[in-house]
Amino acid sequence: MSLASSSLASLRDALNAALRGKAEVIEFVLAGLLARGHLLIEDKPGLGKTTLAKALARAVGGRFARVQCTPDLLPGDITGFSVFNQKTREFDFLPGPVFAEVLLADEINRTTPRTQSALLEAMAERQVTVDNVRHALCETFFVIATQNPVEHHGTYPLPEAQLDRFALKLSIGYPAGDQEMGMLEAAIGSARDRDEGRAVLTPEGLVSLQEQVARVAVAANVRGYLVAVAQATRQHPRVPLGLSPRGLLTWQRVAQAWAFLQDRPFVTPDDAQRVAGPVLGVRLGLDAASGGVIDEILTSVPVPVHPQEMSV
Amino acid sequence: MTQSPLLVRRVLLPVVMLAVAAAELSLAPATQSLLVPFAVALGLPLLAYLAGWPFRPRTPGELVPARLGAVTLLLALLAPLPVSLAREAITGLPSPLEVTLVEILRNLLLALVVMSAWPICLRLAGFSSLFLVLFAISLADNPPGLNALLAAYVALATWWLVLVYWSMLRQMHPDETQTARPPWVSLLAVFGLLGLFLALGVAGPAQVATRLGEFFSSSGGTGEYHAGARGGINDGDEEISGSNAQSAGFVPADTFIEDDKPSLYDVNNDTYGPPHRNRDQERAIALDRTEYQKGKQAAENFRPSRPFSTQREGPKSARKPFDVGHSALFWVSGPTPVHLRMQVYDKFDGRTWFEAHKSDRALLLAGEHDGSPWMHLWPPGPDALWTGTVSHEIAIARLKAFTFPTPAHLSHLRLGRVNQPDFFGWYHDGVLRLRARTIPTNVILSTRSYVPSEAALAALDMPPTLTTRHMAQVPEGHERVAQLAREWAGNTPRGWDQVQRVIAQLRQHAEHDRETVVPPGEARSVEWFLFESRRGPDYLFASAGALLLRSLGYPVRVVSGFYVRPDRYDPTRGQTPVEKDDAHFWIEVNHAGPNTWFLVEPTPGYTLLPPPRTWGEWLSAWRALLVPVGTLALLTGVGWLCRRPLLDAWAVWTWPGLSRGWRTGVLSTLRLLERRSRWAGCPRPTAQVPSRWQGDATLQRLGQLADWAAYAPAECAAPASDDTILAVCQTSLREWTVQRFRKERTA
Repeated sequence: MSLASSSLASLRDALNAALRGKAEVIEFVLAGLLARGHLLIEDKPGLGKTTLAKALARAVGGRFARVQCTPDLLPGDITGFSVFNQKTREFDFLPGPVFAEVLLADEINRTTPRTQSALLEAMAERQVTVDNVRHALCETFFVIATQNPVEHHGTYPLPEAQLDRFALKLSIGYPAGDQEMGMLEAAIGSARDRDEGRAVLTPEGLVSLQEQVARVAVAANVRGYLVAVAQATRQHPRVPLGLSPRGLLTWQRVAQAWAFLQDRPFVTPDDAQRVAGPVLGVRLGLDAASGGVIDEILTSVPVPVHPQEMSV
Repeated sequence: MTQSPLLVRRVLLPVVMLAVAAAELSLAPATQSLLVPFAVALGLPLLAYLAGWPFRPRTPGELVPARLGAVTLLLALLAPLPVSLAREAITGLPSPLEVTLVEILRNLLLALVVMSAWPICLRLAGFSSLFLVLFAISLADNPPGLNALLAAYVALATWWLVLVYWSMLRQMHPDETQTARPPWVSLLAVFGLLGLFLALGVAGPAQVATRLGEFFSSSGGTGEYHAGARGGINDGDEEISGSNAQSAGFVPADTFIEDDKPSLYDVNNDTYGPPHRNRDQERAIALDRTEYQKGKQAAENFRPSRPFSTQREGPKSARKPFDVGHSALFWVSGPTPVHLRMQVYDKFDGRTWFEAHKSDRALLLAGEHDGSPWMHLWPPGPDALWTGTVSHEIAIARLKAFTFPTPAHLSHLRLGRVNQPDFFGWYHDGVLRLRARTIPTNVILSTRSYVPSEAALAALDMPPTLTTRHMAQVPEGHERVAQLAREWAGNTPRGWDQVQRVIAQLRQHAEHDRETVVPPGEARSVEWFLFESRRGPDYLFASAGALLLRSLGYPVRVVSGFYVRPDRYDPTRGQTPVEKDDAHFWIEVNHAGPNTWFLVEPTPGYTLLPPPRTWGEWLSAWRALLVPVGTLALLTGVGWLCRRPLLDAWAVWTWPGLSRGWRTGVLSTLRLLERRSRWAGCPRPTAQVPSRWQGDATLQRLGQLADWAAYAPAECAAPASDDTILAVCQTSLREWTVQRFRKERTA
């Protein structure tokens, strides 16, 4: 087994150990991580979002930071701010939580749009500017933002243009009964939450994996298929906002990551279809009542197989 | 928008070929071989199709190919102009503007075929082919084969439209469309339609319309009288009166101021040349009192006992070109060829034929009981002698004569509203006339005649005649002719077969040449013709035939009249004009008394009207074609019913294996299995990759290989060894048959 495969396997195991019974969710998280994308989890409280983020940070050997987004949260609380040092008579920059390798922004829709923008800008640019000074974030900066799908009072919903910054939107969901039984059993005998886990990957190793993902081959007919589906989303009557070119790029990258996770050196339309739900779901402006639209679009576009077939 | 479906593109090709063939046929000169337009029709669309094969839409939103379209259309639209100029410069023949426009339209169609991978261009090509066909119809002058082409085009283009519609449905709902076999009875409808189109193409729309019209007696042509009949032969008051503008057929017109209309005498002189005049003799001929006008010389052509000399000066000069139909003596409607009697000769002196005795005998006519102007004659012989009847209409235009051009074995006749039998009489036996006047012009004589049965004639007993009448006499000094007749008769028993044998020998013995004339002073024209020149005009053939048969004891007379030629038939009018040079001589053999003269045609190149065929004879005539056509139809039917197994067997037999690379082998296998699953009614979902195809381990393994073959980059090695891949493919082909797919579907 190659180094990459073994690293991935260890990473996968570490995350599955932290979040039991959600192997598919872990795969999507890994795909997002390897695609250098960010994750939006829309789910109810107490399902393991923080646990997942902490386990991920530990596994990649990075720091974990958590921000609880409240309406009074300021942008500086996320990016960091300068403080006057009386000893040195200079301003010292105190880095904010964004400088961690893994940032959990809880209930991002509860903070003001100004603060949301500060975070989303950091996600997009991988740098922050404070007092006209640019501070680069780490290469493997990864954000897991959460939203409560039920409570909308007093929230500031993320506009579509900013939702496009996220690579995937996931929902963890409740674990199965046997998984919950195991979880309860594991919690017996310890007063504190176990902070187990060790780093299975270095940040440099993660960067290397991300570079390998970028090199996964995408054949012309597969690219054509992606474009055909993107065009189908723009023409579908129930889709308010069709897939943008940035979204298309993100989708291709996540599909590459998915193929890499299957230990395949090339992308198939099936990879694109598997990640289509999380990737397209975050950026098409679909509401909860629009269930099945993405499947309908995928069903309407034939996949190219034979050489003379083209989706476009 | 995806590219055009392959099947629709393929079916477009023969549709375009038929449209181009129709256009080429309509533009082709009459003298050109049909191979040229058909070669163009096959070659050009095929070239266009192959030329467009490498081109595909590159992006989904590409409606038309910008660069390719501009170049192709420019070339197609502009090319005919310099080609037409060059053609005119080389051949000297100008090209009409309409022809150039049709060529531009044809080239536009071919350009659209080149771009038919784009759905819009594909549909425009189909649309343009219709316009090309319409132009072809408007320009065509009824060339042979056009009707069949049009029928085939209609059938194929209809099917193409259906395919276009189905492909659109399949694109809109790829997984919701289902393929089902049409019910068996629809095959009958398809074959019925095909047969109808074929019949339409062969018979022609006018023929079909006429035949369908005959189901309604008021349309005419059924042979029965109907008061409201407007067309056809043998029908109705409306058609007779011509008062209804919709009446078909001849319409009697008012008599115009008389002009110089020729008589049969004038016609014969113009056609064969005037007879050599014997200037050493003067003859005084008694004229009939009623035909003599005091102080005026009787008209040359009304002199009694008008003889016909076999020694003539030949046609005087080259005939001037004339518009056939403009100078027609009369018009005939009905089946051809037809021999129409005008005058009869029986006495021959070795050089000259003398007119037979004229009778003023009234016809034994009886009017039809229902008061119509039709009159019928008593049958000239027993019913067993006749095989049917044939009808004609004869419209007199410019002929001046005492007699009507009369078909043989007349049974019924009608002349306008004339309903008195005593208006008519026999001029000669079997030659009709109006008593006491010449036949008026612009009248229409409708006739119905019996057609003798060849078999019945062959069974006739024809003993040697003992009569001393002229029709049985051979002039003295013709022993060589008698000897020749006996040689040619051989051992054939006496009767109709012997007559036919002798005449067949005569037709082969000499050559028909209207220019050849008997030398002046030749005492025995027939002997000179038979033994010296062996070529000559039809009157010499008739003379020879008469003497040959008379020497064997048959009563024979020579008849002059007109031969209605089938090649003069005018399809637009449905009539045959009869010109001066249709004057003709033939012989007739008598059996059993008056009005039983049977035609015999001695001149090569002329034929008798064949009897109407019975169904048995039609089938016999087509027997030669029945076997190959029947075999072809059977094979086609069996092939159609077994098309899927045959196609599958062919595909398996031509399966390349891994000879063209493992990717081609795997994808070929997948394609084969996809077709089988489609036939089984459970097609592979098009929105899923092959590895998602539900099936057993073999099928899934093939699917995984197909994923590799379809999506892995070229530099990727094969996921398994060639042997393993080959084994998977072969196992899949062997195990996943149509029946297996069907079984899995129902399970």
